[in-house]
Amino acid sequence: MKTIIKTSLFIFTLAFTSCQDVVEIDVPAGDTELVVSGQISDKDSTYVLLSTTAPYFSEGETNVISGARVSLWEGSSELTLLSESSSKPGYYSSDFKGSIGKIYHIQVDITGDYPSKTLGTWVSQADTLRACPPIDSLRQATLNRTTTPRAFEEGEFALMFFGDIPNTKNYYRVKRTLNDSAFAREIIIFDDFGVDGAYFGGGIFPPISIFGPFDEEKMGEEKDTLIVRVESVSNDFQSFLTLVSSQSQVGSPFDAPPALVVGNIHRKDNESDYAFGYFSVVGTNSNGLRYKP
Amino acid sequence: MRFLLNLLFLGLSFQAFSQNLLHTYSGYVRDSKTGEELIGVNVVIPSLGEGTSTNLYGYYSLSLKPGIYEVSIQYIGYQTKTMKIDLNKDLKMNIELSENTTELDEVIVTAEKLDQNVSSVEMSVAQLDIKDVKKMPALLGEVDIIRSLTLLPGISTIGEASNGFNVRGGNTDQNLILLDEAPVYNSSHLFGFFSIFNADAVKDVKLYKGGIPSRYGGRLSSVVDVRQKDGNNKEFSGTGGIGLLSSRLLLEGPIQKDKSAFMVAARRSYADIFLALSSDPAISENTLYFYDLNTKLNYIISDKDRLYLSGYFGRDVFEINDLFGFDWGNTSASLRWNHLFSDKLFSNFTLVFTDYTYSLGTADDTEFNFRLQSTIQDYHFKNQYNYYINSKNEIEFGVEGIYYRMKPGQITGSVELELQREYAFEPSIYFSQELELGTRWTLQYGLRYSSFYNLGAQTVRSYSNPDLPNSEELIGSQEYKAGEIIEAYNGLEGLEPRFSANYRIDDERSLKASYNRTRQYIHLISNTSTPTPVDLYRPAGRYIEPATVNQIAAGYFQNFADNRYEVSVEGYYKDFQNIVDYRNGADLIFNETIETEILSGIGRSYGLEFYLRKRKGRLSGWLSYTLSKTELKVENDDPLLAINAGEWYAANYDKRHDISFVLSYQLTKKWDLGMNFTYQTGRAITPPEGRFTFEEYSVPVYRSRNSLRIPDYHRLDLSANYTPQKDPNKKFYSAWSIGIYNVYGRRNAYSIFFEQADAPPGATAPSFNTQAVQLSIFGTIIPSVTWNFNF
Repeated sequence: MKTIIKTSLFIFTLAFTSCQDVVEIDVPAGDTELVVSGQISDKDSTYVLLSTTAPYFSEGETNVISGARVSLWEGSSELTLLSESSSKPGYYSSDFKGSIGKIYHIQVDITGDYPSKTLGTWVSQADTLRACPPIDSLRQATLNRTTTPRAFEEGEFALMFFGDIPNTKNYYRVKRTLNDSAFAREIIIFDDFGVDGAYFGGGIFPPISIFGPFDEEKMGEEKDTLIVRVESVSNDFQSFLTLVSSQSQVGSPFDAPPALVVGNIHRKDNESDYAFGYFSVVGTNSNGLRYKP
Repeated sequence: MRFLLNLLFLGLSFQAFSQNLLHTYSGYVRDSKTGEELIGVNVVIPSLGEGTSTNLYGYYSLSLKPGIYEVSIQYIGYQTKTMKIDLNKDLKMNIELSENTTELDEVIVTAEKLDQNVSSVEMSVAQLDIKDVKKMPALLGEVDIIRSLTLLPGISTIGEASNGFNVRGGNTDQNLILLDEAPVYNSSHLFGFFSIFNADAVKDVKLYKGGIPSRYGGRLSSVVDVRQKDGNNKEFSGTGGIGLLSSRLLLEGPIQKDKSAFMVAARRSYADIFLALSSDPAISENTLYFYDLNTKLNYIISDKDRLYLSGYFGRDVFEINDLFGFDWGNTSASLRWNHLFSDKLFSNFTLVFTDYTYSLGTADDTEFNFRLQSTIQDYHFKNQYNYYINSKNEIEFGVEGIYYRMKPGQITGSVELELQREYAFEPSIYFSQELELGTRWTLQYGLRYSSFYNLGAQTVRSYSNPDLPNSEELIGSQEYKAGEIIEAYNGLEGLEPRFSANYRIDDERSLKASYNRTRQYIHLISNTSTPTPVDLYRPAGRYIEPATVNQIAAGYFQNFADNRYEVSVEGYYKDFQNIVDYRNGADLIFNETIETEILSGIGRSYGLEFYLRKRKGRLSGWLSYTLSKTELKVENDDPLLAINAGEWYAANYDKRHDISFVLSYQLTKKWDLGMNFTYQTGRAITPPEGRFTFEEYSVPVYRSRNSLRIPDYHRLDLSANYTPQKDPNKKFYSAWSIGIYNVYGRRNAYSIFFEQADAPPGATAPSFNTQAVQLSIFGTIIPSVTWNFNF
């Protein structure tokens, strides 16, 4: 529900986007700092990507950090070491998959010839791997302004039938892939605020319109295949993702002021000394749909 | 305090002395054509060099020794009236003044007495004559009182699309905006492009930046006192206009001649009508409009009693196709009763109801629908007395009580949810005395005492660290019954002393100084560059402290060339306590635990204001310049909560230099020309110091808040007004206004934001490159034409 309200408010900002010009401006350069991003889930391999911050107007991806020791912990026990990819420096992974209800965190030890602010031992905030309800089905349906759910533009849509886990506060992140291509820079989050335990697709709550309209299939073109993945995320991670999304553009009259986006990584011996990025602990489920014209 | 008591005693001694020897000359001053009471008319006894001016209800009272006097009644824009009075007993006299038929070389641009700026104890006051505001160039021809006030020193806005305005470093929620004594919570239409005040319906507007009289309270930085027209009690008449954006019509007339009158004014924009003509459904099915309605009834019950009933209803409506709809607006009603207990004791009883509501949601006929509504409602009672001891000594005192009902959020539709409602009571008592000491000194001193009670029914959460509530440290809650006090602010902090002094060097020069402490118990919860219509006030309570400011100001005032010119220089310093700020990424929407998102800070603002005005002649206008600095500070032991590492940072509305140049030229009897030029230092924004990649995002690293400036702002506006010769045999006459806003089409920056660039077309991988983008609200010249009529 909050997501719907925020989306509604976002529409305000659209009224102020007409006169925009790319300009050149000098900005100060800060220190080079550590960035840690990664994830453990109950379905996929665990991974961590180590990189550094870069000057704001620098081009391309930022520098990575190789040769670090990256370990996965359950509670106070070290479970496994993540090994660095030979083809993708700075990318560390393990085949280990998490279990529902367990508490995980990572520890990163960085030594070597890297900027001084990146060196040392870093840990992520420990987090519990939450169960994620299944996507019962993805179904294709024709939607328009008179249907439920509604669609401004008439066409074929994918509907997600999905039930919230009752009696707990849940945040869900949705990732969509169309024909094996993930949607670029897309952060979709919804929560069960006001709809705790609701089933979307039965009773008063309609199924969730998760994609559409599908493009008309052209001659010789493969039919569209949609994969939807839902992750059960923590409140902190959804706040982090919301901040990442909101900070990707700030400047219209009704935008929030620029804010420092800090995740759950900090020095092992000093919680106030943080690194950027986030190591997330998520339960996940997915389902797919092949478009039928 | 002792000093004040001594002065009060001095005043009361005068009173005792005067009872036996003085007679009172009193009454109302009205416009001869409409019967409107005139505010600030000077009633002067030239032979004594004494006088007074009419109060906000047009009432005056002078106590003099018995004798025959020549009285001069002076009001700018009206013919001065001189008469002899034989004051051998108390004399009550209602006076009517006739408007001037101005000669070309004697056009006077002011609503006040010619030397009022020098002789009055008031300082830090901004005042404009509505007639002059109507002649000034205006965006899309919409006469805008608030926008015009921003051309005066010390008053600014963050940019063109800004809800509200900033006064001497104060945030937009620190302005007490009163429409016939009813507070207005959102003074803007269409996201801040226009103000809610229909200039046709406004009689008088005055903005206090400092030296705020003790009768006003509840906001830190300014008071804007807007008075609606009372209604013509002589004859039926109308005023209206048709412009590019909106049309308006005002009707007024007597219900019972010279006894009672009505005024009703309506305005509606019609962008939605033009949008509907578009062949593109994405445009034609959008709706964006506003309307407002001003009403007033007044009834003279007797020589001693008068009633006023005022109302305002305004609404903005914004609908995106038939998917989402927003609407918001103010509603207010005020009932006032003026009563004369004696010729010297004037009283006013006021009852006010005001409401600000916004709602947003889907259409009701959709199967899964919702509507979020938020409301703040006030119920005011105010009782004020003015006691005119003699021409040099006046006392004002009163009580005020405000009961707040806040509904922060209620969702209806397929889902029913509601945030806890909040209730509060703000009683206050005040006193002030204005005293002339000798021929050079005038003092105005007063004291306001305000307190605040946050009331139940409510469930109040408890945190392990109550000084910095965190949702993860919730340890319990406590239930409070309806009317039970949750938190009381009723200590000595509620004392708000006010003091102003005027030392007249001579008839043309004076030095003034003032100090005021003001306190604010409700805060606008808004974390955007400019408040949105969907932000709402929340009361001080267990976790949100009242804010306080102390302001000192001093100035030099001078008139020269037979009052043809006036000049003033004022300096001020303000010290803010308990300013509300927010944690990074604060979630303020429908948040039950809003206290976990709020931080408290301090602020300081200081500046110098220069004002040169030419009042008379075919060419009139003013030059204003403000040099100012406004900084905020939010410290915290947690480095992630301290803003800007706990160091001072510029407020986002801080502008170092602000220059306005306003000219009006009476070309012929039919044509007058207007020009505004504005130059402002670019406001402060926060630059990124770097970036990092997360998934496919380039995420900026923002650390030093508001350390960069956007390009400076400047704009020229022109207008021409054509008023054909009036036919004395016809009541109906009309005029044309032509204007150009942003004459040289400058793309003034509203902000510069930093964003990740899109990947080039055809690219398979995302782009992590970044760019700076300048956002301008207006990028071109904006012409306008308006037809105005009167009958």
